[in-house]
Amino acid sequence: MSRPEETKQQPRREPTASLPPARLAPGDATRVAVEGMRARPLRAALSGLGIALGIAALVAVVGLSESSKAQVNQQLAALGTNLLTATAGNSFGGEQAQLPVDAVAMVERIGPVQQAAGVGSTDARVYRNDKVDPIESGGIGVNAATESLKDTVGLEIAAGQWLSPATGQFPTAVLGATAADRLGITPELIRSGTPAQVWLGDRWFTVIGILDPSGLAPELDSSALVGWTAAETYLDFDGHPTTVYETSSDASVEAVRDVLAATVSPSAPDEVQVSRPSDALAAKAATDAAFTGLLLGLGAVSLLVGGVGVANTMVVSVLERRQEIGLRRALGATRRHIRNQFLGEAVALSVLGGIAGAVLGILVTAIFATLSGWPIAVPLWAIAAGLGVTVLVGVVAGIFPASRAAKLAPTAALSI
Amino acid sequence: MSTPPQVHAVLNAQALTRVFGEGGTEASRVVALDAVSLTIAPGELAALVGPSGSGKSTLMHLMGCLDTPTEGLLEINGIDVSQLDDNALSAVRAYQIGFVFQQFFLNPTQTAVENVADGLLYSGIARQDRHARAEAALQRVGLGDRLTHRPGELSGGQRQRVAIARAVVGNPPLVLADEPTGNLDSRSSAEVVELLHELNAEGTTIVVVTHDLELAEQFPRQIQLRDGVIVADEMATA
Ligand SMILES: Nc1ncnc2c1ncn2[C@@H]1O[C@H](COP(=O)(O)OP(=O)(O)OP(=O)(O)O)[C@@H](O)[C@H]1O
Ligand SMILES: [Mg+2]
Repeated sequence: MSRPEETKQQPRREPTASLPPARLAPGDATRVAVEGMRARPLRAALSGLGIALGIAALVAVVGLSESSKAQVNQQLAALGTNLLTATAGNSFGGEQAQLPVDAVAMVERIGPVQQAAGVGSTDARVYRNDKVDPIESGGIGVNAATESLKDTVGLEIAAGQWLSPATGQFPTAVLGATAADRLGITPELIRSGTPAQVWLGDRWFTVIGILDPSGLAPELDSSALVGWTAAETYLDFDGHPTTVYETSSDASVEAVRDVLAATVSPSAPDEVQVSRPSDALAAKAATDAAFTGLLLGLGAVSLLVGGVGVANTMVVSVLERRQEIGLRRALGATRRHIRNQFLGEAVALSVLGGIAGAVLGILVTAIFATLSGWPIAVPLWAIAAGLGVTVLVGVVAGIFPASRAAKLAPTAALSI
Repeated sequence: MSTPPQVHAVLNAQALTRVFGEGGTEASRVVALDAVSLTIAPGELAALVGPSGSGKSTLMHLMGCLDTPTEGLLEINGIDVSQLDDNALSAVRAYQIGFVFQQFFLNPTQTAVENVADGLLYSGIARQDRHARAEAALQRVGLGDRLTHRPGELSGGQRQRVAIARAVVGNPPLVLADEPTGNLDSRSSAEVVELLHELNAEGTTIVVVTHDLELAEQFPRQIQLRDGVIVADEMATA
């Protein structure tokens, strides 16, 4: 065994040839790191609180956004994505444009179209009774509707019945959910068979049905629908639809979309707005971005504060536990053992807070989603990412106090 | 100028010097140990005694590899420790030296067995083996019936016996006890002194550091320190 010449720093014989290094098994290292926390549970809980809140916010944000997305997807699956609407926009002059009288019939003639329906707005107003001040219309529009509207849009009847060829000729109305609410006509009232009437135009109309809120055509919720013929007979309706609804097979939606405007209004296709309501619904799920951003920001700040809290706890802990450090050095702990102990403790504190936070975040998501009638969806990656972040926070928070503990000279640590 | 190093000595110090505040002003420079030479043979039970400020703690820290000398040679069980780095010194402490402190330094949340087992924590011995050996060590110090008691449930004398068990659990070649009776009443002190004699009789080499000459005289050898110099080194006649 020849030693290189340059070791003249060490003039004496090789000292540790026979001596194994001090060592601490990984399991023991973990136990030692967690022990300090177990000895002061209240402090551990308090210092993990900030982290817990931060992770709870992050998990809840992701959970709620995923849950609402799942809700929208469920809704879309139920409602379908094959409904298109063509609406008369504003003409060049600025006044409300009209669609041709035969627009619905034209749309029905497009090959892949399965169903088509029209809605035409009237100038009539609707009131609870004939004594209400005519200016207080309550924002309820009166629209003529074709009988095919219910099936085309997928309207559900909350109570009563839909317009039929017979009832559509007479002064009868079906109210959207919001309109019924504003007019004080409840589904129970309709179901009870009590004749319900509203003052519509300049005569009494019998309410024969109330609709559920519509997922794809929310504009119908605040409207009173009357039969096409009745509108022409009693409300001076000119027969021009303002919106045409149509459905086709999913595969042909795009093809229909391309020709819809020209079909509905061959003379002024540019004035027609074609839209797919399911797109708007899907987009709505993403429109809470500002709120999400705010919560994410709060979560990040909370994590930062939590990290500072853990760092602070560790600094105090190192100061208080000088003798323990000294004892461990005397028992053979290396600087690295001491550093890892305190680093491990910081990570344990942080991760414990993170686990509590993840549980809290899942709970918040579950409660909120249940109250909103959403499915509960907390993606695993969010929990994994949250816990990953807490490990990182723990390491960053622990690195300074841990290296201070490690640098402490054994003699200084043992002196009181 | 001094005897050649004894290869088999547990401790061999030659011209050991420790200066504090070197590099600072001349006024702040303190020579805590001044060329101390000393050997401790296996199986000895010695007291290191001297008044306050004489350098006892400084010498004990060097002997315990908690500090490194400014100059001189120090061998522990044949290992030259005067030039070792921090990791190697840690290894020497883990395998070669047992410590007993005046303040016991027990972990209040752990049982007696767990505290004693910690004496082997940094030697890479499996947890179960540590516990088995800790139980045996507690039997040796007469606390076989207090295995699962926590320090708070033990008397001062019993606590120090737990600490002594922790120092001897790994059968280190050298045990250093710093004022082991300093926090104890006279009866407990007597018990601890008796225990040290018993352990020594079983072969353990022990150095007791104390300022108390009366205590020191209860051990076979007294090394007297004053102003960083050994002024007397005598074997008891009794
Ligand atoms: N870290 C240090 N820095 C500067 N001087 C020190 C340091 N440690 C010890 N000294 C000095 O070295 C001398 C010896 O101190 P030491 O602690 O070894 O004495 P002691 O014999 O243990 O005394 P006591 O019985 O009071 O504990 C003293 O003068 C002390 O002031
Ligand atoms: Mg001292």
